[in-house]
Amino acid sequence: MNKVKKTFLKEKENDYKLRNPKIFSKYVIVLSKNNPIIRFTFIDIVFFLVVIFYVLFNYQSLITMIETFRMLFSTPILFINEFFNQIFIFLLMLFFYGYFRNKGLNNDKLED
Amino acid sequence: MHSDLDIVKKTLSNGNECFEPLIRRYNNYIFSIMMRLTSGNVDFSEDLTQLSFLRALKYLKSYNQKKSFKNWLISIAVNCFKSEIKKESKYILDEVGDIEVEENKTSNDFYKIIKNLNVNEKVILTLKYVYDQKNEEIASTLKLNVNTIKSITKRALEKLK
Repeated sequence: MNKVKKTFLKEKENDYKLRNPKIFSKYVIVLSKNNPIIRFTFIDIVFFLVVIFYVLFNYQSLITMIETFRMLFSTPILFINEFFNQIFIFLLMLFFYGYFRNKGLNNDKLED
Repeated sequence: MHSDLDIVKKTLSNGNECFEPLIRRYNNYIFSIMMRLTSGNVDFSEDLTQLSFLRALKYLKSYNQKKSFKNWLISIAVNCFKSEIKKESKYILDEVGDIEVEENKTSNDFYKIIKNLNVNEKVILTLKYVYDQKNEEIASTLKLNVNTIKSITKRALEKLK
């Protein structure tokens, strides 16, 4: 018992030091900034809901679009003319999703 | 010199760069805990120290500012050690520990003693007898009952007899 306590007391005297404490602290800060945050945000949920509802209400035109997709390679102008609204809405949704997602991520980084 | 709480508040409002003084203040302290818990494995201790500070930064928002920052950091470090030791059984201190002990020329006896204990016993005895922490502090660090700490201490000391 005494031997155990003596060993603990002796161990107290040991002083451990990191090999490069200055580099270590800087490295931790750099690592903490580069930590990628992959998680579902409110914007993702809204985007997926919008896509689901859009598909629900326009599924017929989407099916037609898929069926005639080969037109994109043979007669692209005709294809764009035919499905202009759908393509435009899709690109607009993608733009807003990307914009808000990026804004959200930047806010997260600032909060960190 | 700024207090721990000032630096924490500054980090929360201005970003991670402000946390650097706290890392410099406690890095050797956390490293020494890790060295003792890992029986002198330098590389693993450095990794664990790094991980502890990263976790501290990640969960800084949840830190209760009424309590001691040092104890909060110790509890994060101990939890890091416990979770990593579960993941990386290769580090279970038998082979690697001995080599590092010889390299460091530190007290072999302590590492030999601590090696025979399980994770909780190791943490409790180290915090109690090397860092002079009270049972209440260890209980809050390990999220255990004070009586459980007492009984684990007793059992561990009997094991070492």
